[in-house]
Amino acid sequence: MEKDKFISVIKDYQNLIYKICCSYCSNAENRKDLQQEILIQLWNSFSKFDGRAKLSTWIYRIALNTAITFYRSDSKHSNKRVSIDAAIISLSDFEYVPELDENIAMLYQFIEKLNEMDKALILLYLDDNKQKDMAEILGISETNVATKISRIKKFLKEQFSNN
Amino acid sequence: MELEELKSAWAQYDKKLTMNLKFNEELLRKMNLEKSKKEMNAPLIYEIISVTTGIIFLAVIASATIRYSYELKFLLPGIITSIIVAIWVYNSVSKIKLLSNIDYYDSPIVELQKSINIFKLKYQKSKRLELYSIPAFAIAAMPILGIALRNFDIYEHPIRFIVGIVLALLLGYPGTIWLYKNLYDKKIKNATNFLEELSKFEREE
Repeated sequence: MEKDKFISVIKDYQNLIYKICCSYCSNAENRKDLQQEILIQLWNSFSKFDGRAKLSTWIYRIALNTAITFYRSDSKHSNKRVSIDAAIISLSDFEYVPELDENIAMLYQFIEKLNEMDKALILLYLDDNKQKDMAEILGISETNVATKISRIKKFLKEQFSNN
Repeated sequence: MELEELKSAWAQYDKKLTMNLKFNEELLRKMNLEKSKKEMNAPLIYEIISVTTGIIFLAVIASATIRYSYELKFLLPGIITSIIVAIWVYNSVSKIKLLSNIDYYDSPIVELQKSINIFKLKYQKSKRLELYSIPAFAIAAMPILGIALRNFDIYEHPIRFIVGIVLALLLGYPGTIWLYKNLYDKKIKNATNFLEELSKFEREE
């Protein structure tokens, strides 16, 4: 069944969706709404996925596009098309690893300072995507990706050294 | 912290997420995903309804204008009203065209965001045009609709006509300007700024 197949794909890519939501929404309520919006958009386009692009490329494109549109929307709550109180993807009791968690928390804070397009770029970079895939997902040249990555790296380095 | 260290910390974080993220399958099923599929084209449906209503209205106005074309006092407002309605219909058709050209599912991020923001800009600008033309429409439509629908010649009741014009001008324009400033002005600026940001992002620097 299409829905079962969809659920299994979402399960495989839940980390990606979770990280995108955390990067674009610092507010928990908005994060939950964004998560629902991403799932709706993925579901709406699921039958149109023809395998020409990689599944991950397709998911990144839709999830990041939805996040950017949500972030830029004039009224974030107008996107609420279904009312589900809890988040579909949530974190269970997280075992605290001080150094790791502090660095990640700081990283999220610095990502928050980037504009929405740079946020997309750094997420793709941190998730270890190849420059070619990043260029394909974003729709810019590989040289452009490299230039921008080095600028964002410099920014993040400065942010970490200032803290 | 070096960026390579950061990348490895991010990979560790990803592993941690894999172990700790809870996926609520039941909640996802409860979302009634099938229903959301139908809701997708709401803006498109709205514009299609606008075009259909506009065309019907245009037909009514045009036929009334032809019927009373022997009198300049009806012909002129009829032509003005028809032009205004035709512009509204044209605007809706171009919005449908823009909406149909947006490929939500197979476009790179920059391309899709550009299409969305060009549509937003076009939408807000056409709202401005629609709002500003409402008072002119009301004044021009009074004589032709009066005679066509109720056989009522407003020129024979100059006081009523003047009151109508004054109301349309005094309340209509300040009202539409206020509405526009508060509803659309900021949205136009946001869309324009984001389009500029996207062009900058596309350029290799």
